[in-house]
Amino acid sequence: MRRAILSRAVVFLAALLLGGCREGDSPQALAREISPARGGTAVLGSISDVDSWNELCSQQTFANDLLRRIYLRLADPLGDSRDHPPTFEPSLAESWRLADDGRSLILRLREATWSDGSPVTARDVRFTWQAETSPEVAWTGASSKEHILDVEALDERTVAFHFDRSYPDQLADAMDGPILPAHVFGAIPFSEWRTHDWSETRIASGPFVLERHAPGEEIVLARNPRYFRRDRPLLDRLVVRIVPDAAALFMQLLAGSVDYMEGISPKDVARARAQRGVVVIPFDEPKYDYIGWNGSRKPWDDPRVRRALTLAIDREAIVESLFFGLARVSRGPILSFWWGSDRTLPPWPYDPEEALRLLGSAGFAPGEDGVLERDGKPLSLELTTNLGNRVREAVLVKVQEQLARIGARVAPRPLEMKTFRQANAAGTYDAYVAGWRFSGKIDLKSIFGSDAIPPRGNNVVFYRSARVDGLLHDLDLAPAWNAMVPILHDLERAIREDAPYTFLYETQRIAAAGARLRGVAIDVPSDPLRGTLSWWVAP
Amino acid sequence: MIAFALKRLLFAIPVLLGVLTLTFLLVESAPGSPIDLWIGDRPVPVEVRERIEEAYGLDRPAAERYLHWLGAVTLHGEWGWSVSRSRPVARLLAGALPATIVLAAAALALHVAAGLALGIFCAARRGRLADWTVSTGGLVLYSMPTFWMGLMAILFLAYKLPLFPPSSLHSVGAETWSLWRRALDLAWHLVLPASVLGLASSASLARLLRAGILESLAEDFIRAARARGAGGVRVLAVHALRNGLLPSISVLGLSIPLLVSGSLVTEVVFAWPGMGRLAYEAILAKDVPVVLAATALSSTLVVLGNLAADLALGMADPRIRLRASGAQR
Repeated sequence: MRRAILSRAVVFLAALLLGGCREGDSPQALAREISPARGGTAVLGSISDVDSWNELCSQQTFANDLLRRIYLRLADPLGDSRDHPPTFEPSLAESWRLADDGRSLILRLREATWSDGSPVTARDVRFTWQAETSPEVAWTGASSKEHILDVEALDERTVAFHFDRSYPDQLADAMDGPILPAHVFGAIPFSEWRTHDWSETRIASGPFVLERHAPGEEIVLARNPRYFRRDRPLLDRLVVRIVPDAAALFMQLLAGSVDYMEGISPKDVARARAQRGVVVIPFDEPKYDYIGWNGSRKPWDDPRVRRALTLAIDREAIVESLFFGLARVSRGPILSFWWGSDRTLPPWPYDPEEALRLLGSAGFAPGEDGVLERDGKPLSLELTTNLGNRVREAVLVKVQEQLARIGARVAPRPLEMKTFRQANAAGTYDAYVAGWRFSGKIDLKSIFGSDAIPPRGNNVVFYRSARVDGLLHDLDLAPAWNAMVPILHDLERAIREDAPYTFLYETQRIAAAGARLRGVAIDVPSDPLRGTLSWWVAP
Repeated sequence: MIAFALKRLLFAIPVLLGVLTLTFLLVESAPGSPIDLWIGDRPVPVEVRERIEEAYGLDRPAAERYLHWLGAVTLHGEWGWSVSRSRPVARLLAGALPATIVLAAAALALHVAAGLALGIFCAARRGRLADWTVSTGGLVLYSMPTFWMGLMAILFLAYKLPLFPPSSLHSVGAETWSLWRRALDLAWHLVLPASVLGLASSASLARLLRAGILESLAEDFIRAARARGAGGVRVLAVHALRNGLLPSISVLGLSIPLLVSGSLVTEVVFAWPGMGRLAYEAILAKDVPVVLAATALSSTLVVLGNLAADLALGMADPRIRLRASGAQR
């Protein structure tokens, strides 16, 4: 009896591990499906279409996620970047080593072929670097290559990246971006890349190759029989159905006509979880939203005022009401789940009394109408954001309500994107709500460095701090990642104290898999579709 | 009639140019850049952003871009490049137009069939409970927002009771099926969007037709027909219907372009990859060449729809004589 129970328990646990945890399924049913089945088609739903089939010309997150299934990188970062920089799993490169002087990274490519049968060579790697750094291509991720002086093909399968100096992110910089086939992409001059229709280019080094793309309707990726891992992927096809209306797409997931989707609204999570067989998978997004205070205008140039307003905003309440708990209060400029973040540092609390004390020390006192004022001028501000972003528009209203409680007057003003950007770059604003999405590295210099004040960079809050500039300089010169950690912690503290931003929240993206789809797991948040290699459909 | 049609088409050229110029000015005067929308929240260096704008010619003055686009369309038949979809606009139109035509044709057929049937039915049962019920029901349907009707149709007929597919043109893997099976699959996918688009608006046609028939029934020629011994059905279906149809024909002619370009909401809700959705997404992305091409196509259809209505009127009513100077009664 005990043995029978034990064996059932083992089968049940194995089924949970292999098939993913499903509510409502019996152990017997799960045991029947314990072996992943090969073949079949999984249907993904997306509200957006692919903007370009060339990753260097694409900017959409979903397009990039799909393109990573087609064009492999030299190595892929794993999702273990909580306590140290991510480790890299070999992909097209099977091994690598740093030269003795630390300024050259030598990689050995595996014996892999493109889907047309041509070998993947060192020439492809050099060609890709040339494309990535070409001003004509204008790749938005080109800054990751700024320290690479040359990429040299030493032989067919050996390639050397030569850097201008030795630094901790050399590996990440070298591995960033896809490897493109020189014999196909090289036929198009770089000057024509942005106006070339890449949807007709049917070649891949990854597990899938583009088979069909009907714009606005459907994308079909077929299994690449020449992918170097012969046992993967398990699926024959990945079909993407483009459904522009999020509510209609969610209904399709519930109806079972779509097997997987991302971007489920937090308010729909309970409904999805209640659906038999649907698995909800929230994962951290590498982004945060914030309020930027215009440091070139009074009174926002005073850190006490910025910190006081931060203390007067109840961010826990905002997270709860807008994200139903599926987000966390942001504590600083480094994402809390990234290795450089100081986890002993708590977020600024909601403390209206301390806020009033700080504002008092900055010279503000309540006027006759209850509004705080200094030298006869009320503490009032226009709070802008980009029009159409419903969450940020809701944040404007919440902040208006909360700051009104301490006597600060806020006028919410959503602006069209270009007007919004222009106002920010010109410094003709009081405060704005926006966000940053990061890919790969934490680049604080381009946001908080005084060198990045417009027109040169993205420091549109006009934040100047000699201490932060010094720390950013030290960070640049740090010889190893563990030497970066204390500098990053100091940076985080300095920026937190000065409060050029009120860091609002870090959101989670919510994915869900339908009853048919098995093996779904998201272990690398920056690459949620990485798991498609092991996806399979229940017979 | 040919001279009349040619003259109308000739007059359409300045109208189309005016519409296109106005559309360009409207889209251009709205703040925003496709590159800003495209880049979103990523920290992209200013010089990279400028190079991208240069690559798409967005750094040039608006007037120069418009004249360049107009010259390319009229002289070379090139519709430009879609920044948001990284494809030639002509290819996008070639993909979207057939989908819209199929949906519009099915919706129009349903619209006409249901409108005719309900209009005749209500006229025949004027003032009775059936007339009141059908008329009120039709008005309720007509007054409902299309997106809501679409979502309800998906909820009840695709999700709760999975009778029809909720979206798209065809089933997954249909491209490998036989032509016959694919046609059936397409018809199956058409049911919900075509019904939402065609049936709801048929209430207006039914009411118009009902009023037309009732008006005709009071005319002298109907009394004469009855005096000659024509039965109730013949009077209604042949004499009154033909005369009562005239206003409906004009409205139908005008509704053809509306069905083609105005199916935007239906196309978005049912993920139907047609012209309405293409134009809608292009407007959101400020993809000017796509907006202009969609406008050009839609305006041409309005002109052709008007012309078709005038020609049909001439055929339906022998009293109307079409002359080169225009339609004259």
